Amino acid sequence: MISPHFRWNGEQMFAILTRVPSPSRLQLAERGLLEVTGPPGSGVTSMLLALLGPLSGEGPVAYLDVRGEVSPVAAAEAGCCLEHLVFVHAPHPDSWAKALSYLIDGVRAIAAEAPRGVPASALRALAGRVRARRRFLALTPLRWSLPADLANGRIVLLGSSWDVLQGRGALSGRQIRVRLEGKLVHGSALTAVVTPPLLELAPELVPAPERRVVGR
Amino acid sequence: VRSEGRALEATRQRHPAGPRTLCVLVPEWPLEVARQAGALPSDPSGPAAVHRQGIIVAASAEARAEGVRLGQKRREAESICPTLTVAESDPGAEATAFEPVALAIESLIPRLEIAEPGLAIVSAAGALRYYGGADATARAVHEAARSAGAPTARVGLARGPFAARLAALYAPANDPVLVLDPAAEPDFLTPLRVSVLEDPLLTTSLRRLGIHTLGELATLPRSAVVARFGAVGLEAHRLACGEDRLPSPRQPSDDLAVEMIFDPPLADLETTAFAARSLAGTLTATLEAQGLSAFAVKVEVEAEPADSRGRLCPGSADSLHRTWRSLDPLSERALADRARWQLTAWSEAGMLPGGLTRLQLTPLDLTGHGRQLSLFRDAAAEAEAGRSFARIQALLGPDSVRRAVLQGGRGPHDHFRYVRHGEPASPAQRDRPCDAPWPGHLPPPAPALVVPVPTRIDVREKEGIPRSVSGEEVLSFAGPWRLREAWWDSERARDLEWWQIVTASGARLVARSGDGWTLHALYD
Repeated sequence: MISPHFRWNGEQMFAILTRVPSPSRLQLAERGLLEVTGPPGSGVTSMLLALLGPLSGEGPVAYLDVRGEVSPVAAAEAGCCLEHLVFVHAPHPDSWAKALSYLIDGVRAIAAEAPRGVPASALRALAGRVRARRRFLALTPLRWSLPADLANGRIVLLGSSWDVLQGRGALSGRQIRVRLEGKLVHGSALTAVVTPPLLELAPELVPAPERRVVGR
Repeated sequence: VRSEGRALEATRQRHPAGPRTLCVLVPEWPLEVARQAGALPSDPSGPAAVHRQGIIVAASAEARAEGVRLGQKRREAESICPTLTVAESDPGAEATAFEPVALAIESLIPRLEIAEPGLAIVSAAGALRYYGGADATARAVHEAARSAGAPTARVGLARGPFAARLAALYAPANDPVLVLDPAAEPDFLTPLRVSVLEDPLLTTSLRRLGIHTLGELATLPRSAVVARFGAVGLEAHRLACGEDRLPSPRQPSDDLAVEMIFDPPLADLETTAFAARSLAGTLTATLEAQGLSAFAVKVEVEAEPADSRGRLCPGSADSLHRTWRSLDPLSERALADRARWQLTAWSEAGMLPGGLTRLQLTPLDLTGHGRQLSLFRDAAAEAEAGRSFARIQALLGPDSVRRAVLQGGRGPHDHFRYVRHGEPASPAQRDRPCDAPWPGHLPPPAPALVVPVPTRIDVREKEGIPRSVSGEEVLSFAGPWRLREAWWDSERARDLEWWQIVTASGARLVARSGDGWTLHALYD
């Protein structure tokens, strides 16, 4: 089994494990604010749960659930340790910001849905708190957009497709096209296809990050 | 150690005869409360017991005669005594029922401390002079406790709480008041068995080493006991030698007290309890930051009073306080439990008529020894997270922070249940084992979003096949899977077909029944 944690450029990293023992990993820093965004049904919730999965093995993690709909069974399938995963339900923007600030104070890794109507000032204060306390926060705005410079990195879900069923079998194979942006992926945007629940990275479809040559 | 010595010396100077501690013990108090609540038969002739989380904490004389022991597992007790009637302990109700007894004792001697419902201790050196002697004081307290609803109360008076409790426990049945002269205290303790230390691991080890009584333990060199058993052995050796911890040897530090103000007043007991838990977390963090822990906590509240007609009189708050003591340094959970029990007791007694306006927890009897943390878990991280969760529960209500437990079932709602954070997960329901086959259940992957209450959805079909969902063209689908369960039970009965339908905006789990199509979950 590949350890989900490793160091890269002196920084602690974690990876979303592949289903097969392949060295291909989605490399993300273990600290900072990561925005996960995508249209409804594209797999944002699965992505948030998969991000929490490797981190839940070590201690308490939390999912801030605005809609009150996230499924613990899906969380378990995404690799979350349910003993360590706590579901917090905070539907209103006012109490949401307060609850999230309490979570940042006490919990190392958090996945949070953000309701519409949270002031930008509150979001900036929360982002500062995340960095000051050296926490990991994956934030997904529900049908709105976060301020552009708020997050350290972004996972943009471009769309997902399911294996064609035509009345036989059941939903099984799914591919999600994602684009990674920002510092958490070391400044290089790359597009990948991942397959839940363990977000298997299809290595042949991942273009190598562009390398810039300086000073020749 | 030096400050403890100074406190002891100061106590000796104030009371030349030495400190005296009075203990009121109501044996099998949980049993008594369970009988009053109707959880056990009121007829005391049959064997009965009370358990807390599966461990027996009180047993009747008949049950003891059959071999039931405190600390035993419930199943073991029931197998030893098949006619045993068992009830679950309710610490809140026990504290509520004990409150009148505590008030009656406190009307005679102030600064009462409760170790647990049914066991109260109080420093009595001043009261002995006021009431004209040890025996007169003890009998006055016994009479007060008896008339306040504890007819089986026993009273012990000794130098420290350990000996006072044992004096109350071993007082003769026909005269349940035992006063120990300080000079005779070692003679009283010497023949007692080491099991009175109430530490099963230590007791077992001591017995294996051939040490059966406190007297035998006291004769061992202290250094040898410490070398073999560490801090636990040191504490046991001190108790065996009659060197008991005295109640409240130090003054509380007001700086360490934590409080919460409620405006408007909190009337709901459950919300109050969660506020208490949040405050206990803050207090524990404050103490841990200074390497301290407390053997006792003072719970102090202010409540909006009501006049004789039940109308609220804002602005003139009533103040109530009670001190709870523990044999071990209080953990965060123990602090929260004691605050909750006390609030329940006051609330049930109608002493918080207009709701709570202020809650304060003051740590007492501080020790610098701290608490032992677990070796294999990151207990500090868990405690830190626990405090955050408690603060959120105080903000949003107890149901806002939950953990999930998986269980068996067929539909997306059936596979899990939630447990509030801070409450123990009740055992899995017997009729929902995860490893049962559950024919008709949906195959993985599980939908990421489960709609709490299934909602109607517009599905157009042609020849029995869904063609569009909410105006979107169906790209592919799977199903139907017929589910017909619990047909014998009108409330739980379900007869429907599951369909997995994929459109451009994602995959959904929908159901078709006699009432039409309903949306149950989304594969987000």
